Amino acid sequence: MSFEETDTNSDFVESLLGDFLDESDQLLTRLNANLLQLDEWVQSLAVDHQQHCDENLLNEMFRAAHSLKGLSAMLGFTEINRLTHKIENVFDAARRNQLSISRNVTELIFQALDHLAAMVGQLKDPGGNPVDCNTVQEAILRLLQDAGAEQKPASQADAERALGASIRPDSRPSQAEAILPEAAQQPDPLEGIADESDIPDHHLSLFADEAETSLDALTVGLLALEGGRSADDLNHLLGTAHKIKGSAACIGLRRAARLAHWMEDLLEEAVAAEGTLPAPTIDVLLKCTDGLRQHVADLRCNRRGSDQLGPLARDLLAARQGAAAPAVDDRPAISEQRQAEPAGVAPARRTTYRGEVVFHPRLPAAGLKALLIREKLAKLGDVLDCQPSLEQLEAIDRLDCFRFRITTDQPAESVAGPLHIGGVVRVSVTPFLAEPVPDGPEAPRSAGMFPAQKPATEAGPPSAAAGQRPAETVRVDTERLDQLMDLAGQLVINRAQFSQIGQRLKAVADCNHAVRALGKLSGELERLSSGQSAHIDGQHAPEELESMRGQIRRIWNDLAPICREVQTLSRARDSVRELFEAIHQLDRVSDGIQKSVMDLRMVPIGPLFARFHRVVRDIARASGKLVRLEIAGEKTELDKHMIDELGDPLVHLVRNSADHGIESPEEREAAGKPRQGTVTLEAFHRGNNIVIEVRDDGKGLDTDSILRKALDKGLVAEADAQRMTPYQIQQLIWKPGLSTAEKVTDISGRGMGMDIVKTKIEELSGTVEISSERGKGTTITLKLPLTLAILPSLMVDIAGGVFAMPMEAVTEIVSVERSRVRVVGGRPVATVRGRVVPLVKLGDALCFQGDGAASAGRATETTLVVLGDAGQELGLAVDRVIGEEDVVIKSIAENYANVRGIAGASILGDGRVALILDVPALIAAVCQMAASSAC
Amino acid sequence: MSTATCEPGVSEHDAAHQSGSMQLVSFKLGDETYGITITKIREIILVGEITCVPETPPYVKGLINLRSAVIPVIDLRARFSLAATELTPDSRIMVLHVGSRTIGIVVDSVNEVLRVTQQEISPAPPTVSSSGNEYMTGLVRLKEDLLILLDVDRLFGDEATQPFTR
Repeated sequence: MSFEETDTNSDFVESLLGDFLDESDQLLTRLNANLLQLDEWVQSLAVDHQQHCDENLLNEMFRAAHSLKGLSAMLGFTEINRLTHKIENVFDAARRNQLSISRNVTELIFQALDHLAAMVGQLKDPGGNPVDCNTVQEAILRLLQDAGAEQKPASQADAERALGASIRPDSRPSQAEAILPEAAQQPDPLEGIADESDIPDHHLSLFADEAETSLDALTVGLLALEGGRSADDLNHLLGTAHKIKGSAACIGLRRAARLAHWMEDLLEEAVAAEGTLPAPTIDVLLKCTDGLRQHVADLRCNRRGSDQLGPLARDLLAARQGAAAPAVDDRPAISEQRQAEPAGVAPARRTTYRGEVVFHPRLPAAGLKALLIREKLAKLGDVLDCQPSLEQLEAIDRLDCFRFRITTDQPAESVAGPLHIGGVVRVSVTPFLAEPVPDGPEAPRSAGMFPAQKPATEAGPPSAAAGQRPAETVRVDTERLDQLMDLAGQLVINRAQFSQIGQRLKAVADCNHAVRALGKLSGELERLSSGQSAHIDGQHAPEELESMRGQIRRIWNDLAPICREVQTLSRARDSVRELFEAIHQLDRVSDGIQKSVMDLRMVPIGPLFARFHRVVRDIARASGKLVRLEIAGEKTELDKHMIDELGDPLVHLVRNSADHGIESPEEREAAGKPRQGTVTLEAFHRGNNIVIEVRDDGKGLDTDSILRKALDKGLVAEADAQRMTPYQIQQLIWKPGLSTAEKVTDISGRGMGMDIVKTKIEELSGTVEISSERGKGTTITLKLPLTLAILPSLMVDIAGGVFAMPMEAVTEIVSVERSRVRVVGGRPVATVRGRVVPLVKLGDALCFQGDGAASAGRATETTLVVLGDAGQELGLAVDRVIGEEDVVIKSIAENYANVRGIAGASILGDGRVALILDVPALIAAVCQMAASSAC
Repeated sequence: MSTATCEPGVSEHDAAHQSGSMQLVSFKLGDETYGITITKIREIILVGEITCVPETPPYVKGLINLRSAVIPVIDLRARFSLAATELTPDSRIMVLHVGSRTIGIVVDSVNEVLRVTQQEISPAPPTVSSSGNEYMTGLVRLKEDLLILLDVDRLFGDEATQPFTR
């Protein structure tokens, strides 16, 4: 695939690329989700021909495809652009009823989306295989040709026109025209364009961040243009305006999107003409920028629906129409012009009202009444939307309240009047606040002829907690997060160092004994020097005695400063205590930092799970089974890196469950199960772990054939086979040998790539287990650490070296007397609580140089750490158990290579490097050792 | 654990490179003198505690903690099949950039930083740069010594990318 990147080296494009990747991921996800809905609808169509296709769905998909098209065009990804364009055409044709959506169509679009995802994926990682999407493109083209809906490569403007039409679900083509640029005389070109009302706050804040940056860039660019301009600058401006448009349209801010679109048009014309932007035009553009900035600021503060974009749009269109006309921003002139031709292109003054009709409770056939009201409304003006929707009304019998929005040139009274039909208790019509009339007398808010008080049932605006600002966000490079994580890890190590230093100081400062001894000594000397000690008096001459006393006095004097210093030292004990308090404080802070940094990397698993709807659907369709995917715990958060890594293993597992686990509908029926099988994906916390379960209610594992297969492959000895429990047999499917079986489906289906799954999960320091019941189903449980960076470990001393082993793998620690160690088949084993556990010295399992790790186990008593993985156990002989510690995992492969039996390294408090044992690999090494010695 | 005694300045090297000369750090292994271009050297540290790693070839001494990064240390004597000796107070670890990796080598002593011109470097004779010794890229005649120029990327390229086998 060749991307004709317009100017890859430009920083501008570089910065856009990141945004593009982010946004295209979101758009593709949304497209996929919508397509699944559409697919369901197509399937239900086979049963019930009466259903109408959800127009909003098609519109939404069209918009998503369109956004993607625009973004890719901006960055010069022609292939993506072409394909999205085709997809867009399909949805457009479907909207216009030129193309009926069938299974073939959805299938084709699924394919196209896969190709798109692959192409976007290639942008992220250029190393992959080139994506060839010509076949899909041709297929779509054929589809459109067959439907007679083939379109010439539509220009951006065409698509925009179509998009404009899509903005109002009920709009007729003439109105679509009405919001086109030609309608500059219209009082408010943005009238009738409403923002989506339920924009999630976090989307809004993301948009606001991005828009503010873009608007800043736009302002700077425009100001630069006023000085000396170049086509290049204009192109940048164009790109920026497009970006604002794209992101606004993405989250449903249609008004802002439209304004930005017109700004883009204006700039585009300037680029096309390679000409100049007259100063007034720049003025208008700057005003628009300011207006948008204000709008964004309002959105941030949750003040929605009161934007001033309408007048700006009018000025902008005027400027565009008469780029040469000097009086573009001469408002009075325009309003005069408007009054001069009041019935020109559009009705002079149209207002959008929001209305509500409350029916008598227990009114029979209220749905029909509502339909009647809906028809009356249609005569008065353009009904923007109503709730319940038109389709629903036909089916509804009971209805308390019918809501609608209407754009009309009639006053509120005339709208409300005809609605009083039998059974109606109350009618209220109020101007729709999101659509203020841009100028002219503001209609009072309670203009309806009925009290504007809304019944409590009316759903408030989504921003119910008015004034509550959406949380601000910052986009951060993951590299910086990693850096922060590293630093937090270092802090943990430093904390441990402090703690050790403190311990040493404590030992040094513990000199109470010395103080006491010195005090005693000094008292003794004092007595001696003052001659109070009687027993030496008689034996010495007085002068001799005097000189001795003099000497003793001097010693006593010398002793005094020593005493003082030792006393000072003993006061250092207090300081050491304070040091410990400070370290304790540091403990809490560093824990807090570590936790916060880890939280930064946590993302919900939901989006990953959502991908599997598609996987399950494809399998169900391919195999003719009925499979439902149930998802639970999608809010569970995991390390971002872990989520990225989990995709492939989960696909394997879900595919296995749906493909091999679930039986055909007939088989299921025969087994007394519902025809539709269920695959469940669930994530939850358990202790310090995240557990992900993949469950199915299928036929379960066939232990007999697994065992047979394992015997054939020589994975299990004949003698052992007799004694194996079903659970042990089930664990055999993780063996690499079984996965290479020629036709894995023969042995109840499992096994394909299961060893790959296991390896991958173990790379993530996780464990995987399987349990299955014949006829009932299979559960695969993945247990993963909360984060990859920190591992709760047991620290042990083996021959002077410190080793860490994941707490997860430690079953128990026992002390075994030398005499109770037996030798079975040339290998020592110990009996632990009735279980026979092989006793292993680290130096035997792994090849150490010199005498490394050899001394363990010579004493009369051996300390064994019993390590377990997937039902297998071994007892590792250690010299001393040091204790439990949370270690920061450092990769060895980063600077060296992967080492068998070693999962990584960690830095101890004293700065030494400790190795983290890889328990599954260790067990494998021991098994290999046993196998080779048996030969 | 260690003190940095040399932190080469990159700009200096660039200037030198442009004038057709390069800076080398020379060091001793037994009786032989070797040189590595200064741009490959991150720092030179004292030999601290080295953690042995199982399942590695004999010339991998183990892992050390270099300011919270875990890096492997290679015993260059063992790598060049020279007789093993005890560490002396002169022994140093030279921390090198090899590709994207950081690797330490234990050397008997670090001598000096030299500046040599391209003309002073003669190609290694074929007897030296035979197969298996491609990492010896040249010889520099010093006053009373012959310096063997090492290409660390060739020397450790394999180790850095391939896991060791027993």
